[in-house]
This record gives sequence, C-alpha cells and structure tokens, in this order.
Amino acid sequence: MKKISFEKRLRLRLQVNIACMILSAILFAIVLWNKDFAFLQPMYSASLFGLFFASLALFIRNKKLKMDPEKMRTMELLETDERNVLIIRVSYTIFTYVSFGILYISMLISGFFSTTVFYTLETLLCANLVLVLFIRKMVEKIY
Amino acid sequence: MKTRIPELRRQQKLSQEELAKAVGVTRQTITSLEVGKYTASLVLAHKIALYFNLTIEEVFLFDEEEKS
Repeated sequence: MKKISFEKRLRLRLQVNIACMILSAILFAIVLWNKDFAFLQPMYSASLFGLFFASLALFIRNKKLKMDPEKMRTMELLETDERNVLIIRVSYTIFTYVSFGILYISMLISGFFSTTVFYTLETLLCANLVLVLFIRKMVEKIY
Repeated sequence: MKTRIPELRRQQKLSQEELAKAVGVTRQTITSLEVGKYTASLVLAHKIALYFNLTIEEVFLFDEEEKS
C-alpha cells in the first residue's frame, strides 16, 4: 500500500477540519432559518456547535503541530509506532463487534415498543453487516 | 517471545528511550518487547538486530513452541 507522508496527512487533516467548520456553519444557518424544523433546533444546534468547535480545536492543534517540527516528529512516531497501530486495530475490531451486539440487542428491545424503530434498527444492522463485508473485501485486495 | 534486548542494552549502557529513538518506535514498544508482551514485526526485529550488529535469531529467542 502506498504510504502518505505525515506532513501530507497533516495538510489533509487541516483541509478536513476547515471543511467540517464550513459545513457545520452552513448547516447551522439552515437549521436556524428553517422554521419547519423548529422542534429539532436545540438538538441540531448543539450537535453542529459540537462539530464546529471540535473541528476548530483539531484545526488549532494540527496547525500548531505543523509549525513545530519537533512536536510533529513526536506525533508521527506515536501514530506510526507499530504497537500503537496494532492497539488501534484491535480496539476498532472489538468496538465493531460490541457495536453490532448493542445494535442487535437494541433492535430486539425496540420491537416491544415500536415496529418503526425495530425495522429502522434492523435495516441499519443489515446495512452495517453488508458494509463490513464490503470493506473487508476491499482491504483484502489492498493486502 | 523472549528477547535479549535488556541484556544487550545493559552491555551498551543504553536506555529504552535511546533504543526506541534509534529504531523509530516508542519507549513503550521497547518495554513490551522486553517483557515479552509484544512480538516485533520483521522490519522492527531487523532494525533492532542491525542496531546491535547481530542477527535476528541472536536477539529474539524463538522457543520450540513458536517454531512449530
């Protein structure tokens, strides 16, 4: 697999941070001016505020890293260290299985209260399973 | 997997931090290797062996169970 340099990765992250900030600001403006979704305003506003400030915080952190070569090297080492990479991979694998379990149990429980929620969660679970299989096949081609 | 890293480090009066920096990993990885909690990749094993001017087999001690 082609390796991307850490500097390039950092540049890409900064771009994603800016894109997220712009997107959250646009969506926030839409939510604010659209009176049809008034009942969802507090929920959407809080979520978009969160996205904006998280992106801003990450942008500042990444910018600081980019300007300090020593810190950048330390961060690169932390991210590329093979044991750390293994820890992240194992954690994500466990997280995926646990998420499936939670989703499956939630689906079963929701059936007692609402068929709509039941079918929504069932669809979500099936879609996730298909997605995992698809991603696995893609990764198999890379390695 | 058992390794001779602690012994080799002591011989060369080298800290974990220094070895980690030389082979491009974190100090925690060296600690894990030394206590046998983590098995190094071929690339890392090669880097460590090269650093000590030894072969991989001389640094990393494969026991019979791992060989089979």
